[in-house]
Amino acid sequence: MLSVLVEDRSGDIDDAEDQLDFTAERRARRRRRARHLAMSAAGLALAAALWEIAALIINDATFLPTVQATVSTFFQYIGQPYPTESDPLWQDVLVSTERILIGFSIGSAAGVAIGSLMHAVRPVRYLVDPIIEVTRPLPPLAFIPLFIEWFGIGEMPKVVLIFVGVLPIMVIATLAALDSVPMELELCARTLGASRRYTLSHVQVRAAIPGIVTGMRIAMAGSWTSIVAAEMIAATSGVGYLILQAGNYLRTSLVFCGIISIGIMGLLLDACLRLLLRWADPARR
Amino acid sequence: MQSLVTAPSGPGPSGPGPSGPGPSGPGPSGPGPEAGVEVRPGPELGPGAPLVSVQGVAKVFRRHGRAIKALADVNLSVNEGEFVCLLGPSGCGKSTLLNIIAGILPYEDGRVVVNGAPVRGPGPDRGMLFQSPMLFSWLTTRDNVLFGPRARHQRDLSRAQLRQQADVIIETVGLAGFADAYPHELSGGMRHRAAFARALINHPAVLLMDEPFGALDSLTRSRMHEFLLELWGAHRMTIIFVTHDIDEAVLLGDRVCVMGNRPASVVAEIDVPLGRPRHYEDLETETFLATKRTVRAVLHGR
Repeated sequence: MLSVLVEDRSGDIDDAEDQLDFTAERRARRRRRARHLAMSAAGLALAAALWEIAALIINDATFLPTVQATVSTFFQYIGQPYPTESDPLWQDVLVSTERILIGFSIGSAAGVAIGSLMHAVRPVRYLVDPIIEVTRPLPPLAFIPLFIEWFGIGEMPKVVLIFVGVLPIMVIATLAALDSVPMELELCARTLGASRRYTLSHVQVRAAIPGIVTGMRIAMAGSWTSIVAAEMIAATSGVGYLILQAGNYLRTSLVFCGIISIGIMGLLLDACLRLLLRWADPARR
Repeated sequence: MQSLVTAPSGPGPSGPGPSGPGPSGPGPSGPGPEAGVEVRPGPELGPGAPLVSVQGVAKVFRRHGRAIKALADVNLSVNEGEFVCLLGPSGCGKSTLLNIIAGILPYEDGRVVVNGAPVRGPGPDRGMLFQSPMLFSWLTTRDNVLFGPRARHQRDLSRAQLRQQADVIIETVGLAGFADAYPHELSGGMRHRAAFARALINHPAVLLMDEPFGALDSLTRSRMHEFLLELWGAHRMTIIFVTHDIDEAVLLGDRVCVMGNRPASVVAEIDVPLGRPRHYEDLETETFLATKRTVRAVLHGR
């Protein structure tokens, strides 16, 4: 968002173009980003403080445990199985993350492939577009009973669920990204002597990458919603399973630990994608 | 219709008429349509065949089963080192003609020959500059400039030599110090300069410019005009410049080719009797104003 503003401004002050110093702009942008990061950290600290105050006022660990209690539970169960015959927290997190990464990778790859095909071949677009449009508004969670019926209660239904959630988002994101590459950019490359194939890989696909990665970020966020729901219905492992079990036994602080773990993992995976986006689009650096 | 109409049917006494030149070039003929306008012959570099030759080209667009004639019997010759402006109202087919010369648009009839070879597709010998600079946003200025040589896997120069060549060209267009900047870090005018550099590194025989400064504010635009005049003065490139701005056409071009409406063709060619080097102050000279009046008369008089 910020980089967009910076870009707009640099385009408007043409008469001062001799004074334009892009390295200074970069330094300023880095400073601004550091400041924003500090603000974000402060925001999180504020939320934790409000939580702590509310917990102290309510004074009921089952309703709302304090921050300290939650943190100590976190460190206790990170390596200790809960329920006793099950996995420790870190393993639950790992299991959920693995399910997401498998479904997400396959879904992204398939989505990019289908989206590209729709972009390149008109009949495919007209054929597939209504299918995507009809299935897109369906919540993936509606498929859970179906997938259990079809794929049992192993890993398969969870991975398929993630896949089903990711696919339409990636198809649409890929198609939109490829469609929005201006035709003139392609022509420009061709007049510079690039072959059709070189233009396809180095210009059209390359120019679409930021849009595709943005689609991946949206799809990733949805994946966590799906996986936790699936693990609450048919699973004996994963963060969703842990949260459900802890909730059933009124271990509220452990529920919070599960929720916070999801938050951290979600943030981590999104950070990876944002890194990818920054590589792909210098305007976001 | 004769292949090259040099005389506008505007005001003023009819001149000697286009008796001589034929399709081989604009030639020195041309009446003085305004009293006091001395008609200077176009530059006579490269005797013989013109560098760019468009003969009897027609273009039909087909949309929803309807055929729309965009161009009919277009003739244009551009000599080496000549700066020609294609002038006409919006949608008259100037850009279509330019795209045909660039090889990014097929054409029906006629012949388009550049540097002795018929045009069959796009190529680095015809550098193209669009209204928007069309830089690759993920590449620095230097990598943008090096796009052409890299795309063609040019191997006659080492990487270091190529890089050095790019830096020289970047300096030529006035972007020294911005080789490592990304397009979003450049101002509008600078982006156009970068696009220039990117086309120039291919050493194109002809530079095709499609209303390149149309989207710039007037201040930046005048700066880009000065820049272009300077660059042309130093390197004597062959340029075909599409515009709908009379001032721009007369200020920049050796010759202004006026294109008429549907189906469009080149209806008149006016030699610009301004000397070189040209500057922005030339806009106020009587010669400029007289030429402008002539061009306007041709443009509106039909």
